[in-house]
Amino acid sequence: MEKPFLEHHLNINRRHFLGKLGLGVGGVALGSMLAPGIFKGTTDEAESVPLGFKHFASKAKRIIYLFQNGAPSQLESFDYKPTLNKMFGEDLPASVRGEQRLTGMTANQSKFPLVGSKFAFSQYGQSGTWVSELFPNIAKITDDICVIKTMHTEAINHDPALTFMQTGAQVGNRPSMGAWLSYGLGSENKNLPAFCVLLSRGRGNGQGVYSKLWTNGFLDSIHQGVQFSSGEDPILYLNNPEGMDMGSRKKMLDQLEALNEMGYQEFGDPEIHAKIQQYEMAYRMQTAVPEITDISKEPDHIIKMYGPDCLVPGTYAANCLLARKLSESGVRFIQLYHQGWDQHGNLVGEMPLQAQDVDRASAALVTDLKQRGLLDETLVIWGGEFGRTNYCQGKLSDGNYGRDHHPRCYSLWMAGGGVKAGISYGETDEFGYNIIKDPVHVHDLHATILHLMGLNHEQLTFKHLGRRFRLTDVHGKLVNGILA
Amino acid sequence: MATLEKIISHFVFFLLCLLTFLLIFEAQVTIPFWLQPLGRMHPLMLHFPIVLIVLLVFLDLFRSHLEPASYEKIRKALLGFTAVTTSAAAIMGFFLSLEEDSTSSLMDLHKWIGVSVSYLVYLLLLIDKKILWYKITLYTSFVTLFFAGHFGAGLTHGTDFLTEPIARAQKKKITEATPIFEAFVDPILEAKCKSCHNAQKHKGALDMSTFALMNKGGENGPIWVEGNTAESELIIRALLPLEHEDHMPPEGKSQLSASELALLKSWIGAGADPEVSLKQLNPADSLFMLANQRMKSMEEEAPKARNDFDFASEELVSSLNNPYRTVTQETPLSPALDVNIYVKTAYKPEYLTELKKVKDQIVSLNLAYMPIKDEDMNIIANFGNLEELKLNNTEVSNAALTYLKNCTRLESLSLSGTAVDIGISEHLGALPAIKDVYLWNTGIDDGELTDLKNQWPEISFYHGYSANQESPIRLTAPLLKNKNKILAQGEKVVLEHKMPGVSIRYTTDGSDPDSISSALYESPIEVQSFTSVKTIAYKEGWLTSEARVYEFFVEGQPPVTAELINSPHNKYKGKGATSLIDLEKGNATGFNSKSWLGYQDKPLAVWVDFGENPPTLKQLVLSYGMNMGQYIMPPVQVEVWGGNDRQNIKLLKRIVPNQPAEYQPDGVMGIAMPMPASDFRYYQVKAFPMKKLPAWHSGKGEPGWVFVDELFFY
Repeated sequence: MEKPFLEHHLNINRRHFLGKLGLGVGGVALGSMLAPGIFKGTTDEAESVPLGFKHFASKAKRIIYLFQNGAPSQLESFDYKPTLNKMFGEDLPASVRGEQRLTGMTANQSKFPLVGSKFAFSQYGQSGTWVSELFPNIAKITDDICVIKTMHTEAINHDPALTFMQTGAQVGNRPSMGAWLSYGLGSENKNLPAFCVLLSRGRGNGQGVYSKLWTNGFLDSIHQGVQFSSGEDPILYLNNPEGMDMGSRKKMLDQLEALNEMGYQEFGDPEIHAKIQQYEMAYRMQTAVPEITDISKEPDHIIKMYGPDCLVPGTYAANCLLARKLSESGVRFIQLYHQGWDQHGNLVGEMPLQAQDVDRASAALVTDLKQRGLLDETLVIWGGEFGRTNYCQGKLSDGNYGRDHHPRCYSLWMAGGGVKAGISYGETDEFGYNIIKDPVHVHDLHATILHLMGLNHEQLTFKHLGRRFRLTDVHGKLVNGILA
Repeated sequence: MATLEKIISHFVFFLLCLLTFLLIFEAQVTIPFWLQPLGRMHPLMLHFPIVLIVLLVFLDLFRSHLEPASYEKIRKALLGFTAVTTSAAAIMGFFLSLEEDSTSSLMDLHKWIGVSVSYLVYLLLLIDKKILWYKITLYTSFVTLFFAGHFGAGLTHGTDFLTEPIARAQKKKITEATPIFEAFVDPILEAKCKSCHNAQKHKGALDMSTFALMNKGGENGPIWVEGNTAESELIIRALLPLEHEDHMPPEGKSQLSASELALLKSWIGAGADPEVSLKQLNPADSLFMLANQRMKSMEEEAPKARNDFDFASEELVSSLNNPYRTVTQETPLSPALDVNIYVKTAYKPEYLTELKKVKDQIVSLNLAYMPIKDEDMNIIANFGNLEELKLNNTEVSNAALTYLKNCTRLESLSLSGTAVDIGISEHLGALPAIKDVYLWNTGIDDGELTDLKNQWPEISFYHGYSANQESPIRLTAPLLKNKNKILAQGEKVVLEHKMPGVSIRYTTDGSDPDSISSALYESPIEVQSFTSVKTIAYKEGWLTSEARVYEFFVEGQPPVTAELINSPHNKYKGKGATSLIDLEKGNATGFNSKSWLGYQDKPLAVWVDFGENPPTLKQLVLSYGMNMGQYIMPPVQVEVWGGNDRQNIKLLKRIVPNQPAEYQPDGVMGIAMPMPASDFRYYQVKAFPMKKLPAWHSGKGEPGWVFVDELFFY
């Protein structure tokens, strides 16, 4: 009697199990209809939002990045540290420095004499933001900007730091920020490159910039930054040669396209299509660019606002004005580099010249975007690749000093594009050496910039060498405190 | 009955499997539109579990009053019904949650608590017989349900929904009759002072929790003196430098903003009266203005509804895109379209008219720089959901605004660089939702702007930069059009300035040009041999530019060959002697280039050979570089010798150039050496570097360099 009983129970359980299993699988199957692609394995198409779309709604559409190349000192610009003036010449306490590695330029110094800013600071605007006297025009727009005082990075030398800031990796060959945005959001104006690069040089000690900073890396070459010339014609060879009219130019390009298309059919190299597109864009640029570079229609006071340097091609001011015009015409990412901020020595002599070059035009750009109703949708970023030490490099004299590279904290400001206006974010200690509140790592900044542009930094990926790459690698968290 | 129970249990199990799956793969799940109504039934469905679980609890409480058999029957039926509706509500809630663009922490809380209720109820179904476990699970479900319901209500009604009537009763609406102290001053003190000076914690024996206690002050006496800001401790301390020990709020704490401080000062200055209100003040009073400004900024914006319209088809959107018009749906979640039209010369009217096909979807339209006229606004009037319109630098005028009255959602209108004037004032009333108007560079002046702001206080007007606010600034120097610093015989110097209306004056004798007597640049300048053109630009309303010097060398008689006698420094060998006669100029920033020959420990010495038929020559110009920071100085002495054979030459000219007495800008300069007219075949040129740098130089005593890039014979 016992055995049949047991069997009966077993039967029930088996039946029970299979029945439940069937139901469970049924539930999962029904659910999977709502998540198409879940059982297809992971392919490149598995991105939840297709390319060319924002992942979510956001204000910013474009970025103008005013890169201050060479690393301007935070202690003479936005991070006011009176303690350093009081402790003039005293040695940096070892407890403050901790384990910080030094560059080859100061590693052998026997003393690290603290030195405060030679330039006075005041608070400006409703926000009471501290700005040094070197930047009187930026001081006037403090209520439109957000100063981050607690940027920090991993590199201590220019090239890796610059590359890190622009591509999210210290080694080269990763796509730069502009290339990622071009890849993720595409171009707004099909008659201009989505990513433009403008260079200028100040009067201070300079560091080079290289095309690897605006590379497309492993992305399609259509996303590469287009470097503008600093001469009279920002884009070279745009005019037709003598004896060639637009009609025959178009005909020639059509034929060339047909030939290229044949090449594509034969080899299947996607670079051929990139090339065809570039030819076509170049053709349209022939009409679009002269409209943009023509400054004769700008009113007189625009020139006053940016400073008359904006009439001299290749200057920072001219590049700012051009950047506004390009941005106004839908260029997704405009990267400016202004060289000359590397004040290892003679900071007191050089920094005022550098500041004079950029102060008026940087402030003018923000005001100019604002008065056209464009500041909401344009994110302006101003800053360098790292900070500078609170102690003097080389001999400290009463009248002059220099500062070495410092990765642990530096200042950067942003305006528009959904960033909270009129705030200072984060705090450094009284020595201006360490961060005591709200640090912002370079990866965090990248994640936040992408967020402002409506992109989730974890979802904007590209599969290369068997791995999905991101601008933020495997790091980066949103800096919520600066989002409007 | 048992079969029905089984079916219900299985069905619930099935629903929970589905739910679990959905929760795990939430990121990949997309809800088709036809399932969305199901999600929206969540608010309806959720009332079943609420009622049924409460009923189950009651049933359990009154168990002893019921016959066991009927109790069991009712319980089973109720429980089955509860389980089905609970899991159904959970799934529907999940669908509904996907409709939101972003998740909030409140939503997450509600979601997970709601989901746990459905699992708990299924557990109830399973444990059935074990009374104690049944009771524990039932009451846990009940409590969990309470929280799920509470947070859910928070989502729909807002978190402060419950307490709002109480808060509203407590927090009186701020009106003109509310005392300024209560409305504005106390909140500032609350935020910036009271964390250290309150009833529990009174630093410096100061308790600021009531006005009376504030008036009393702390251990250092009263914090304010009525009507006297200069002696009011509160103001004195706020104005101390931040690093001062007595500065308040202390360093590291949130500081008073400029506007807050201004208001405090003004209020104390006006007598620190706790009862004075806006109503009692004169509008010209500074306290009135500060308080009034604060009141305005406190008025909150009403939340807006948007995107409650249909999607345009993908084909339609892509057909509207062409190289000069981009129509973008910014996110896949919203039907809103963003339209930009670019390139004025390529503009066609149909670029605008064709947009009627997506008239309901256009939310933002940018027509800046396009030849848009008032009549074109007819088309834009159809775009009922338009929120943002940019008409910067178009041809529209005031009348354009009359067409926009149908755009009831238009919030932002950019008219910068157009012909509109103060007349727009009367049309603004037709735009119900307008918030921001951009009017830079229009016919509206600063005074009219103030009128506009007074007439439409709820609209923000942006006027941007106006040049009048500023003292004149310095012009840039004139630019040089010539590409090459070596001019061909007869070539002229062309100067330009890109700013319209600028005059250029110049000198060629090295003196500083001025804006009155120096030569006015009207046509290209003729130059001879080596000339340095010093030039300025000026214009009324601007400061005259700094002087800019451009040096020119005119192409001379070409020698046949040249041969170095002394070899240059190893690092600066250029192309050898050829560098001196190749008509390629170096520049003062690149002394490593092939154009330059650099000497430090010995002089430059070179043979120049004019061949069999030497020309008659009267002058030599030696071109040298200057970069004092890099120790590159003018030569201290230059000699030119000549003769018809190399063994027999005589000195034709020796010059000892004036040496600078302070740092001078980098540049490429020339030294002109007039010599008696001669037609020698051979010339020898020597240029001596500075042996010891002068005392004013940072490298004093060290040897200087001389860099030469070209020799010209005339």
